[in-house]
Amino acid sequence: MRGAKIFFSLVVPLILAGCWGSRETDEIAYVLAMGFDKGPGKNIIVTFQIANPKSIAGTATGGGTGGGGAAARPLLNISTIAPLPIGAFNLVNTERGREISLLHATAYVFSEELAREGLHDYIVPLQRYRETRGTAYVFVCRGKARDFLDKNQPVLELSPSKQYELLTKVNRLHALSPVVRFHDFYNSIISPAKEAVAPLVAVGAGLETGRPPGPGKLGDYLAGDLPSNKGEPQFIGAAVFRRDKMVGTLTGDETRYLNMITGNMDRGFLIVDDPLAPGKPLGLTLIQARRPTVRVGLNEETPALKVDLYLEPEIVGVSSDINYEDPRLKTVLEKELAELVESRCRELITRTQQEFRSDIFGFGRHARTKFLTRDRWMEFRWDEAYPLARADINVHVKIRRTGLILKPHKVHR
Amino acid sequence: MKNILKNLVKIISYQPNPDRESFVLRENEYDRKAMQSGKKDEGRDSGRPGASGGNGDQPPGADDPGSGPAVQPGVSRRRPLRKAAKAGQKKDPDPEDGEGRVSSRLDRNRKKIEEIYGLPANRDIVLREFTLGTDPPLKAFMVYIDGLADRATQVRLLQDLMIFAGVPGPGAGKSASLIMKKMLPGSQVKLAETFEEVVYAVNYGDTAFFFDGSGSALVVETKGWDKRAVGRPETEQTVTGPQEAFVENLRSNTALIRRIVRSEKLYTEFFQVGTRIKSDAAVMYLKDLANPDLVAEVKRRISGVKADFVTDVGMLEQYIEDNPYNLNPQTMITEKPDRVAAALAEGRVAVLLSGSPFSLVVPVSMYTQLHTGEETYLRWQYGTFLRLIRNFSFYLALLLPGIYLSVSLYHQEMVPTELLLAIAGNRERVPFPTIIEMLLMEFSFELVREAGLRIPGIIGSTIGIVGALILGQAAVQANIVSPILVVLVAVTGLASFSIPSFSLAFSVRIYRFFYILMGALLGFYGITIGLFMQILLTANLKSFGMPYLAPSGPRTHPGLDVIYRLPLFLQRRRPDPLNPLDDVRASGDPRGWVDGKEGGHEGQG
Repeated sequence: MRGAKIFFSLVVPLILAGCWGSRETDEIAYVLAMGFDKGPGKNIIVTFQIANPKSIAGTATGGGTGGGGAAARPLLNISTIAPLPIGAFNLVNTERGREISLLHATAYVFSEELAREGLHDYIVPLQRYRETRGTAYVFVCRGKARDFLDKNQPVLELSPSKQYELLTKVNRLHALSPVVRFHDFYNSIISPAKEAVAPLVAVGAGLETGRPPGPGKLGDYLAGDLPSNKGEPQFIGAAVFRRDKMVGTLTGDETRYLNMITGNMDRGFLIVDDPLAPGKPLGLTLIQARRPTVRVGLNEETPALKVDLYLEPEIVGVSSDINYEDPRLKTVLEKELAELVESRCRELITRTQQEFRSDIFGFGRHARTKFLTRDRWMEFRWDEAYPLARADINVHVKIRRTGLILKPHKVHR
Repeated sequence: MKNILKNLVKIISYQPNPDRESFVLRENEYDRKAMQSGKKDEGRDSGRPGASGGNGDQPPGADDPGSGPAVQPGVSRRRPLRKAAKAGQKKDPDPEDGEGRVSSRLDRNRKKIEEIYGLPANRDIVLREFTLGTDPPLKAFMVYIDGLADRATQVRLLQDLMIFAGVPGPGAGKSASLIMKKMLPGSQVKLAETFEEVVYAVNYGDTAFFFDGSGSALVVETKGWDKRAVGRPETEQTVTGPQEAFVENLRSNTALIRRIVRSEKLYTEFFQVGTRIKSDAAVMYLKDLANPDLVAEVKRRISGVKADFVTDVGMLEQYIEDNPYNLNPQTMITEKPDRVAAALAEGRVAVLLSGSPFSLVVPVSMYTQLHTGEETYLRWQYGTFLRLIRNFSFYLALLLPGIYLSVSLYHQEMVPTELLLAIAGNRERVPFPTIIEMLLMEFSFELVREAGLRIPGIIGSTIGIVGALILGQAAVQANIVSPILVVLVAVTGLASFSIPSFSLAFSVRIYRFFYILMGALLGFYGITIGLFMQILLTANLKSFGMPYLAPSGPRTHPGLDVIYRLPLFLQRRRPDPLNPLDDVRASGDPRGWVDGKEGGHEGQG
């Protein structure tokens, strides 16, 4: 009797809690990326990029009946029309006998058209959905998201999810694009303290179409305009949102200063005009020495923003052969650089205040700390106060490394 | 027509076995009686476990090994537990009456010996009559078992008694003790008053001498049978450290230990185990170190064993361990004398059994079972590295298949996308669910392991590797299992081989199937439940009174030789949970030379 009691008390939880949630890997279609386009009426076109595990694991040799080429394709794009992204799952399942799973979805791509109308209706249900990864990436696509997913067939990587991971990793080296995870994006949409940005993606137009960048700028392009191979996916620039609606774009160069102010920039090349030999390019690696300090004062009529940036660039290329390693000349270069960075940052902040009216830097998070209760903070209406704020930017530049050359030889000409 | 029907019925109905064989092993008397006397009696008998204790309560004298076949021919002792006990009690007073004692009349003794050993049918026993070369010649005979006793020694003994004896004839009744004192050169000679003593000694290779007119026999140690030489350890191979292993001979084993522990405080106490056939059990401990309560408990349990026959120390373990229903081994079985010596020096107790090339060491914790002794011989960094690998592989062997199952069935979001797609892609062609696949592979691995042990000779060692390789490769090609699973099972198998204790590895192997089930049914939640239950069960366990998970189960003084193996000179205390009489190994730095304090001065002076 006692044995039976113990047995049942052990077995009943197993049956009650038990094996119903188990799913074999071959019953599931793993969605790697989802695309959202504007559809007819209130509907949207949802595109699922589904991984073909047979092809990725390399076991698809001679498996297909006739269509061997189709079986070997690593990705499969399926589009359907539904009012909400979740509803599309069932519709897709009428075509493919596998359960749609977002467990490994690493990218959510929204078309610019849809983004300008507002993403609230798609982001919020996805956030509530059990399988959505908070660490997935959010992109805004110039053009159709479906076209982008079709075109984005990574050559070097096996699957696009790895491509997205690596892209965000390599972003550390150039900072030309923001890194936005799904959870950050959701928080930015619901929070008045910071407005959302999303990396801009597009399919490249070709090498000929691009215009040359201006002086002192690198990557001053929007995605798709970068002169490069035609048809290749490009991840450069940022889409700026106010609440859930997209209100404008930033070029890669502007995005870099955005990253600098938010402290997300690690390093990046910058080519400036040589201050002592105008017309000659001078290459530097901008390295952010530490996180910027931001202070927000609310004592006056308009908010006062005080940003301190700390840069420690490394000299990479001096084509004028001027000896910038000399401490006196180094200060000249540092001063020049500080002015350049400061003016760019000021331009960017002014643009967000006047054109976008959107605090994408998250200054509001610092302002929020001045309030004791949430109600007070909500009453303050930061989104209306921000465009009037005065920005005071200090750039501290200290050149610590000069590359492997301590004193350049004058090249005999 | 009627005949055909009859034959048909005959074919399909039960017919008693025609007496084709000349011999049928019939039920014995008690079985038949039990069957006849009805089921109520039987039910009462089997319903009372105390009835079996009745047999155990009788004094060991009743189970005189010599009297067994002589007194109750053809009677099984298996069934009628209570009746046998009664019969034993009735017979019990006999030895005290005088029949069990050695008589002073030679012919009576001779008759008794013949009766005990079933002479002359029993040809192993040699009874030789001779006359002592004393002044009035004295009649005598000796008894020994051919093959167990050493011939050369016996020849020398007979020489001394028959030829060189010049001592005046002793007075009647005292001849045995006089001969022992004056004439026999054997090193271990003792007087035996009862036949029980005589028979026990003779059964163990000694020679018994009976003299006319003497009320006691002389038992001379002449053990000399063929035995295996001390060899290298077969199951506990190490790279460094002593390379000796125990053999089947108890005396050699105690000597092997004593050769390492050269201390007069090393006590060896003997016990006889087995009611029908006796084996010698030796309990060894350091008198000034081992906790006396522990020693007493070990002795109490061993002397309380009323088993019929114990052939190996592994059987003895099962009779004396704390909890026979727990999967975890509660004693350490080792074949290396140096490990036993190290355990003795920590205050543990070792048990050896005649005929068993292994030694039991008690009490032990789970951590002790993951040690090999080799770590101590190596420098501490290497030893710690070994231990960490072993601890890691312990968890690997326990949990890896279960975790794989729960990840691939429930927690697919936990693994990197590429890995998941690789798992999924490889599984696409496999027609079975993952759990079947896993059980299939695990079963095959166990099969290879078991078959590799049983297949004789040289084939055996190769079949393991070849079988596993071919089986895995072919199973993958036949789309029965996915390659990632083969890798997984192989790693798990290797990990379980790296657990030094054979018994613990066994328990891990069984627990592993439990975790496979829990992982497949409930995912990580199930594995957590399983771990929780296993921890509770294990923490509840005691090995001869010592908590099984000490020093971590109940927190005791941590010790530096549990999971890590920190430098020897820092290990200044003995393992705390053992509660030895002397807790301190070294009061100061064992490296006395470091500060130039003791070592240097003593060396000079």
